[in-house]
Amino acid sequence: MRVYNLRWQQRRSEKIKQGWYKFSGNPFSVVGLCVVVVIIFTAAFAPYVTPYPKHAGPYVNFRDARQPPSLKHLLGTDLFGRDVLTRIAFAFRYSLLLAVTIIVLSVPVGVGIGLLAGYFHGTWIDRILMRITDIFLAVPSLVLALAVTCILTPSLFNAAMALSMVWWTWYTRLVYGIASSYRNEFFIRSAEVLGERWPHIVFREILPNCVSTIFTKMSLDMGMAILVGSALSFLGLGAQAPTPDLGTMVADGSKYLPDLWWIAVFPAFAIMITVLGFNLLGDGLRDMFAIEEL
Amino acid sequence: MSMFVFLGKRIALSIFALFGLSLLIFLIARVLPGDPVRMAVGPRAPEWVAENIREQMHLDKPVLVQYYYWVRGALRGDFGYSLYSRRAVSTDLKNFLPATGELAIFTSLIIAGIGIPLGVLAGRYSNSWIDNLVRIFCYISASTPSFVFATLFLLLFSYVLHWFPIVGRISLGVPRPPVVTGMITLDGLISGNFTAFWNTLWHMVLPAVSLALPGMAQVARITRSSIQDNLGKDYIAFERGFGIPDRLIMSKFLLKPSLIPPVSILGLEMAVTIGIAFLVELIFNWPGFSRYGINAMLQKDLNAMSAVVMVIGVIFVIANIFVDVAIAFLDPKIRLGAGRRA
Repeated sequence: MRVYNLRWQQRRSEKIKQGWYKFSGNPFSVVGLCVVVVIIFTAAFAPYVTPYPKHAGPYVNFRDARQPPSLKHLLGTDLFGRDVLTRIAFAFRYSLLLAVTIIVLSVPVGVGIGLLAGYFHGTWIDRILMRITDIFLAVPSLVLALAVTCILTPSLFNAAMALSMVWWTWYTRLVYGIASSYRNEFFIRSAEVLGERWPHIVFREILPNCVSTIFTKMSLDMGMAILVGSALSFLGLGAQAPTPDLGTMVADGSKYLPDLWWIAVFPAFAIMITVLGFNLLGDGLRDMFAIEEL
Repeated sequence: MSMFVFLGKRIALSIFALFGLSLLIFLIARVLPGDPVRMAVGPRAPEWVAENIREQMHLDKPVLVQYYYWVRGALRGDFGYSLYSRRAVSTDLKNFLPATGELAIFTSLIIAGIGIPLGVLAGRYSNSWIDNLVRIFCYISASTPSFVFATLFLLLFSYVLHWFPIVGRISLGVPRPPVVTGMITLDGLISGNFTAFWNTLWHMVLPAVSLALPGMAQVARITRSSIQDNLGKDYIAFERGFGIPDRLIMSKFLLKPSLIPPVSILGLEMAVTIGIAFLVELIFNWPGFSRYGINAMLQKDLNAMSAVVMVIGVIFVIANIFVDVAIAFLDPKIRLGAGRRA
């Protein structure tokens, strides 16, 4: 037993080594990983790494307002005299929080529905579930999310709720495809012959085979969720002031173009770099697991 | 034959999905907290005015009856009155849809005209510096929301370099062509008013490019991988073995089958553009349908909001069906009914 365990662990570490070798062979993926690590680090330790942590909240200092980038304020200050660099660092927290909330809320629903519809492929369960999914796919997801956001009071959590309401369909489609292809495999058939009930087959036999695909899709979706979330907050439907938020900062700053360009431009670049980092990382993971469907 | 069966099934499913969508959006609009009539007429209007409007809009009846009236109207193209603009929603749509339409067409032309060649180049010369350059370009465009591009372009090209106008659809002082389609570019061409045509086109460049870049990245990436797939196939090796020049293989035998995946994306991109153009339309003050929709949503204008979502849904569904037909024409396996699509 002990020997077996040891060998299993060895094989596992061997596998991780191989994966890392493949992953690190692509400079794009490594850059993505570094960007993501730096952003998560900045977000987590924002009060310690930023020069003016107080500026993240309701803080006003009109003497230092509208300062262009300088050594004192590397990325300038906004209309209330708050340091833009500090606010970007704190805004990462809310972007990440939004993206994680969307994924945590939508993945279980989407995966569950996809698994059920896929395993009961061709029955009425499949038909009903997939027709409901079709309804959500009949419009671009952002449009439906906007309609939902507008009837709720704008806040970070409500934006996440609205986006998860349309987000789950992607996971349903993805898992549905995999689950319905596994349905006729021998290991499923033998489980059926052994008299296993469907919850066991769906969650213990099919689900483990979808896990790497789902995780890769999740990491690719982080970037997408941050991007869409910033679009919502650009419209004022995300986190409300004085909470720092990248989309809101771009929206506020764009009113003062071209004179106070730094208020809008630096948050805009921050969105770009964040999403880029997650996309590069997600692509690297996809290549590492050699997943074709995404 | 199987093509027609497939198409019929697709259309039936789409109609079903649209009905589902109408129910969904109707329910969303009706759970709205607050009284939409009160919000529209203002707090100081007498109660009988609000009462009367409620009666006219069937808001005093049960929800199912309201849904019936709404669907009956919508099928005739009558979406009721916008409580915000105080016009019939259908009139508003007629005014705003062409502006977004021409923007979406121009955007799709840019996506196809630049995205596909980029993808072909990257696929043909894969793992060269061209490929890497295209890849970096794609990563950056795919990772940037269109409103960020819009803001940066506006700052750089309009405010600093003065190459393009700052906002709007046509310059003041340029005579507008008579309205035929509502699209100024097309109307300008029809009536021979080329000043208006060029002027509007010039106004459209920045919004269209900011909208096009994310789609362009996707199209280029898909074209690249499909060219790569086909390059590895036996028939290309066979043609090479016969000594057919590379250029001929590329243009005659490789391009057409490789274009199937990007074409399928392109149709959808155009439909999506109409739906998500709002941020760019807001930034460039483009008087379009998307901007109307987002304003309706922000003002909680129920009729306009449901109409906008339904129109986008119809456009999206039609685009999907067109894409299927286009693919069938490009792909003989489907056209001749031999192959089944996955």
